[in-house]
Amino acid sequence: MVRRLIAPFAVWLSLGTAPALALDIEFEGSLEFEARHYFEPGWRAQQEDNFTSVAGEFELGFYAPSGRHAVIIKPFGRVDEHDHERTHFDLREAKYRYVNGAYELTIGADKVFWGVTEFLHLVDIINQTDNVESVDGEQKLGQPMVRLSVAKNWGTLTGFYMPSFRIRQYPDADTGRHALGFVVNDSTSLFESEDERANPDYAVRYTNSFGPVDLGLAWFDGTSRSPSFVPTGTVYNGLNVLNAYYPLLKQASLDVQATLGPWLLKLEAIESEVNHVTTSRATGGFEYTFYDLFNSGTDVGLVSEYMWDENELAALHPFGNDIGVGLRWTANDTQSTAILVGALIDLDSDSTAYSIEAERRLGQNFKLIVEARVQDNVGDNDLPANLNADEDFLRLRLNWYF
Amino acid sequence: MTFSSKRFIGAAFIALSFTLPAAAEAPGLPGPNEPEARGLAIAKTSDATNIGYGDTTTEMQMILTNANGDVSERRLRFNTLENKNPDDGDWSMMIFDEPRDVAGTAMLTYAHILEADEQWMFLPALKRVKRISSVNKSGPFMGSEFAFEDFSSQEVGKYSYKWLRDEPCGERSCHVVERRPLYEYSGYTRMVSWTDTTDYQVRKIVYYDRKDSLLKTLTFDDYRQYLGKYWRAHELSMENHINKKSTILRWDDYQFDNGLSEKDFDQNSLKRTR
Repeated sequence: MVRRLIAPFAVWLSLGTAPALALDIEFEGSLEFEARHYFEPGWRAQQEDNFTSVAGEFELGFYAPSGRHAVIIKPFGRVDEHDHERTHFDLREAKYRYVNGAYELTIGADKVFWGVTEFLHLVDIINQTDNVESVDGEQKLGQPMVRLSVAKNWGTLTGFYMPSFRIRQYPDADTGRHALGFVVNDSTSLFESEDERANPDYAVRYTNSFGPVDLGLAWFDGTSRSPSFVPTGTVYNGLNVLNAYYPLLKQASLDVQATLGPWLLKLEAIESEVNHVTTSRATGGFEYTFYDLFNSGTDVGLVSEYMWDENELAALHPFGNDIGVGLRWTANDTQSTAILVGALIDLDSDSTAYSIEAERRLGQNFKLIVEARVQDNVGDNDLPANLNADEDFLRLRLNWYF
Repeated sequence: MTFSSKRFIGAAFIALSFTLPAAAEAPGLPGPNEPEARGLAIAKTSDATNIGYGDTTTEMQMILTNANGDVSERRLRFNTLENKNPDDGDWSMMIFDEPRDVAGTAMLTYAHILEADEQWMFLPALKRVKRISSVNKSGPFMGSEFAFEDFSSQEVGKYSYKWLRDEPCGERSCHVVERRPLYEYSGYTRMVSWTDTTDYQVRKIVYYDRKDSLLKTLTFDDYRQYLGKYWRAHELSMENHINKKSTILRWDDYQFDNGLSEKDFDQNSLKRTR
């Protein structure tokens, strides 16, 4: 099998005369060529419209034959033609894992996903967003942690201790896109905790499945992954320079999905406390799939989700009273062609953003992905939509997997 | 010398079975005058040959050929755990290795008999476990000529049965049984299966689509026996008569008695697949 290129490859660490350790080693990865085009000139004269970049990621795993011990290292890096902040490197994973029956212990950098919804990941909080990597927020930075989970017949309980915090990166002040009409100076981030990045975060999560219902409950106590912004009073190239401020956050969350035939019903809700202000937010909706439509072998899925924030007007995110609608077409052909079309509509201002993402495998080991995002209607006084208005783009990716 | 004498005995045995067309069948089968009861008993006898297998792991190569003769390949690994409850289906974990862009994707299934299976998919790029609908029975599996329902565990209770006839099938004799899916969302009105009368293994299945017209033929080859008891076919070949595409599944050696437990078939182990 190709994925075990090096395996079975025994590493013998001779202690005295006896071979003490035999490990399975696995190596796999991908290389990406990317081109981005922005249709409008940006907020600043120096901004570029066309960017090319190259990214690579690989995973190197060492597995004990017992299945109990594993060491996994997964570095990621990108070099961007213009945007120096987007030229970045990250250890997505660098961890040791020990599994013994119901117990699993992970020490090191890792990525963890929580939640069920598609448009907005409200309860997903462990990892910082890799903000320069993509605008959809789906890419995450590796988070250093110690994680212990216990899986019993009453469910799975997982505890997290996260000794250090990772800040969110923002595009290059001179050339970078997606630009939002201000500059974030991330070399001087501000923190509510005096320990700044060394302030530890704690989290607990419980998950269980009850027939068609999958449930997740979680508690987080630590530094908020989403910053608010503080003006510095300085101006750079005509744009205000802001500092990111990371407050302390306590958050309880619920995520639940009911899988009923072709229907998936989903809900995520959080109650969070920052600076003694408590806020409730929720998102939920449905996904319905027409499988094997007209005996064609293709699937069409419909997704619709509503996003709500009780403090909508004070919120720094655009998802206070919004609805997302998506359509996913899966050809189920040998080349796995798929198209995802989405619209995000602000119900207060009627601001509407569209996205389309299409992908197809080329040959056995390549994949082409085309993505476009367009801010169509910009409502009055809709700040996020206004900031986004001139940042429509087309993104093309060719990936090689090895 | 030993080899040639064994071959001689084998040839003699085949010749003997040809001279006796009314081959032996499992004792106690209802007679041809009760076709439904006979069909069900044949399915139960076949199913009983697999009872007690415990757990298996294996690897599979999938070769897809389209009408122009273009070929593409997939590779998967399968782990299964027998459900000791005869009224429920088995647990399985499917791990995708190729094509490379879906490497690491894994699917966990708790099969049931008539109620919907429970299925979770692990998406390695997002580290996300997603509960998925198991309604997708008739759709193509990984772009192949196999539908999802052709892969799911073939529990006796999933179908109604009707024995049609007994007839020679290659060097063997087979029971020909029609079965109709009792579960929802199937892409078939019926299937006709050939089960041999000595080992009670399925040798061929012909599928009829929702309009009851001939759709596909699946043949099972290279049966090998494990632990002196359990038969596994190592080459399955599906031919689609409508679109002229075909898919061949080649299974690697099966490993039994791996000591797998329910802990190896939960959402936590799904996230750990490699």
